[in-house]
Amino acid sequence: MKEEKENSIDKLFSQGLSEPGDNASYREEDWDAMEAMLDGKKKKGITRSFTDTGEQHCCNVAAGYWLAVYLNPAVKTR
Amino acid sequence: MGEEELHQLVKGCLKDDRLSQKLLYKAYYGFAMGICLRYAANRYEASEIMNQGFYKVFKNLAKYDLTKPFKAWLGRIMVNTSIDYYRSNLKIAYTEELDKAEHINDTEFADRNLNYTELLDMISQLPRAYRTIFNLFAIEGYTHEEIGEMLNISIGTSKSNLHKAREKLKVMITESNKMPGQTNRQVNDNIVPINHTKHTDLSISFVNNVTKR
Repeated sequence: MKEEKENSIDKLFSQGLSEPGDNASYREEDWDAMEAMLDGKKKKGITRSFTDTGEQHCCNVAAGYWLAVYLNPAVKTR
Repeated sequence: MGEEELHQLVKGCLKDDRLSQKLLYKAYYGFAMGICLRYAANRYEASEIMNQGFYKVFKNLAKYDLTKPFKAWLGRIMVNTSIDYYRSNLKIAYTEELDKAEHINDTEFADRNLNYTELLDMISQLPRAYRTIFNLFAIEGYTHEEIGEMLNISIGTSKSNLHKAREKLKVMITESNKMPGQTNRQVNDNIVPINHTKHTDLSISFVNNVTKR
């Protein structure tokens, strides 16, 4: 009985979401992104593009410099 | 689309003909997007998942058996891609609000007059784990055993998440009855409406959603 009642939620959503209509209407920019993927120019996610660029390298250098200068006991005693 | 036309497009796609690829993409865009919208938090995420799915379609079209329905094959790829997307964001999925379900008195929900946008809005407000399990069980018709294998979770977790998803949806439906035309926004207030037409960078939309939490 309870399962039958709960199925009414499932039924409501499975029937109500079967026809997306205008919500799934075609957008040319989606095809542009698809074409870029097919051409091997896939737009990378923000995290991935960050690690792939020189910015990551610059950050590593800056962090290394900071550690060397500020955490060096010789510098601290000055 | 007729069978002969579909076969012509498939042949063209197998030769990497861009026009055939575009025509096939356009012909099945609505169907594929309809699936992805249910699994995604917003339209931009859905587009991203759908394109990943179509990429698999184009790259694996040689494996498609022309004697079988194309829509069923495409639909399975879209669902599997949505699951892959869920898995790749597993850490995020489990840091989302996964709480105890409040039990709402059982009433008949199937006859509620809610349109597609309202239902999709409710489903997109569910935490990703609940949404994925609800979709797989209630809409795709998978069993808890199959869902457990697909998502690498126990049958108990699948059942429990489905129950919590249903309870949350009941709350939203009840609330929407109190305020006609306005669904309850408990979580994911920052979701971009699916009918939002402004173009946004796909790569940052998902990250923004996460960082704002």
